[in-house]
Amino acid sequence: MKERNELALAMSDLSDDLLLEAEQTARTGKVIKFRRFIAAAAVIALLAVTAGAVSAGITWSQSKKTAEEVIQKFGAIYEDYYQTPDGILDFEKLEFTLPLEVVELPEQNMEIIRRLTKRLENGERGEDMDFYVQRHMGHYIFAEIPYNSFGTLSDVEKMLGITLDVPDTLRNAIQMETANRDCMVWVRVYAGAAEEKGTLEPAKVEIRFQLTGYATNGQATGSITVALSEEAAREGMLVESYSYEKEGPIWQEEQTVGGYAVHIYGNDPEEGFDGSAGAVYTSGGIGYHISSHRYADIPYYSPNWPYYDSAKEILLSLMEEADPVD
Amino acid sequence: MTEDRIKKLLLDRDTKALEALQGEYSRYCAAIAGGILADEGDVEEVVADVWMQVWTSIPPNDPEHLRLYVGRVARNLALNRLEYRNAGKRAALPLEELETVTPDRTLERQVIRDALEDFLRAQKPQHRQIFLRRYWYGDSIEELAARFGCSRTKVTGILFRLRRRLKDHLEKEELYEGTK
Repeated sequence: MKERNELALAMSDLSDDLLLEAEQTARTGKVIKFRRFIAAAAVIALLAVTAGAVSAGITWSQSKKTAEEVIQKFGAIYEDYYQTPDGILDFEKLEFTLPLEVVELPEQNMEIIRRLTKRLENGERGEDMDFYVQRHMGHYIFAEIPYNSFGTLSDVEKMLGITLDVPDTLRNAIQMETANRDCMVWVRVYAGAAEEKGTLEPAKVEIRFQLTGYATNGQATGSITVALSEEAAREGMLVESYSYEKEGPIWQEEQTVGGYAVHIYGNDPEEGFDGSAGAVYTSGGIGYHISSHRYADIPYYSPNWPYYDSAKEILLSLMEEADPVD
Repeated sequence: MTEDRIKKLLLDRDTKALEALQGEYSRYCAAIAGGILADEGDVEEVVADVWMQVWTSIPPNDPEHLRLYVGRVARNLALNRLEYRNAGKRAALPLEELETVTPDRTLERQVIRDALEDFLRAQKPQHRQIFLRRYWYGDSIEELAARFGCSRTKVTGILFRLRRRLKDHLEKEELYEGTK
């Protein structure tokens, strides 16, 4: 027999005024300063067509005009993350015009995007599947499938039709965490340019997982990013380690860990940052960027994730036991 | 037909009340039950049971808000049905989400209800409404996003944080499973 859900039962007894308030909430028709992507495939095609005009080092302003045209034609949803004074991240919609960056997307990344958009066009949905352009710390997220749409890393790989070379120990840890109902996993496909640099960044797929204990500020606790190359992965690393101060990582070092030549970096919680650490490595010609975060001021709780004082230790310990592919 | 009119039919023991209840509240009850039961067949059966339950309970009950009363009947019937399902049957997604917050099962239902109400009343109105629409009315994330004029990502984030805060609230009140 299934155990009773005491909370659900108690909810049945809530006072009338609370329920009446919820019932009277009509659809707001609130003006939302965004437009939804309608034809993602057409956008990709447009990007591919205009890619011929792209040269290395295209500036932000140069791409802006083309992006505006794309956005006007297809529509886009804009969101930006920002941190409120109490440290809680909120998603606010800002009215701004941003370039839908014009990049020459490498074929393997294009294939990922095609597969993803095909699923969306076929009407496949996780309950919370969004497809939109989003700005996040200077990167543009081409598509996002958020929260609890998948159970495990393998589900994500299956959905995207890719196999990620992730150390077994890290994979196992993610598997265990994503089996925990309190863990959220979402996938982002990036096609973006870093605003700070005004340069192009090849598309990449990022798989983020958020573990128990970090939900209060909405921060992802770790991610695996598959980039075009080690260079692209490093670029992602630099943005990742910006944290909120945008000053870059506190420490960086090169190591060979578990047969992988990795570049690891991190911020130190004692310095007031988030104690994040990341590792960049290549395998099979693809760059991988793994990051993990630990917030010094938020107690970390998870039954499956090892409790370490620094994210660096997490990554190193997980990678040390892995077998390299190349 | 207005609530008052349907209630009068019930109190007068006029069987037209049954048809009126179905006409007015079928979708409403299906949505509420659908937020608890994953199986559509179960939802249909529960909704069918609602009308008889309401018929036999009014009178003697004379609820001020008939719609809410009918909704509560639907919820309780759905929860009862779920309780007696075989192991391995999944609840609907909203209920599954709520199962991450587990009050001490030895507590009286009213104690949990009071704590939950205190928690909800302390939240921002929009957050409170999103919580109730999801976990009382079974609204989908998409429906919530449309209703409140925000993205699905935002709605999901709000719900996730509310569940965490509720858990913290129950722990603080020593009402959470394992805190006593």
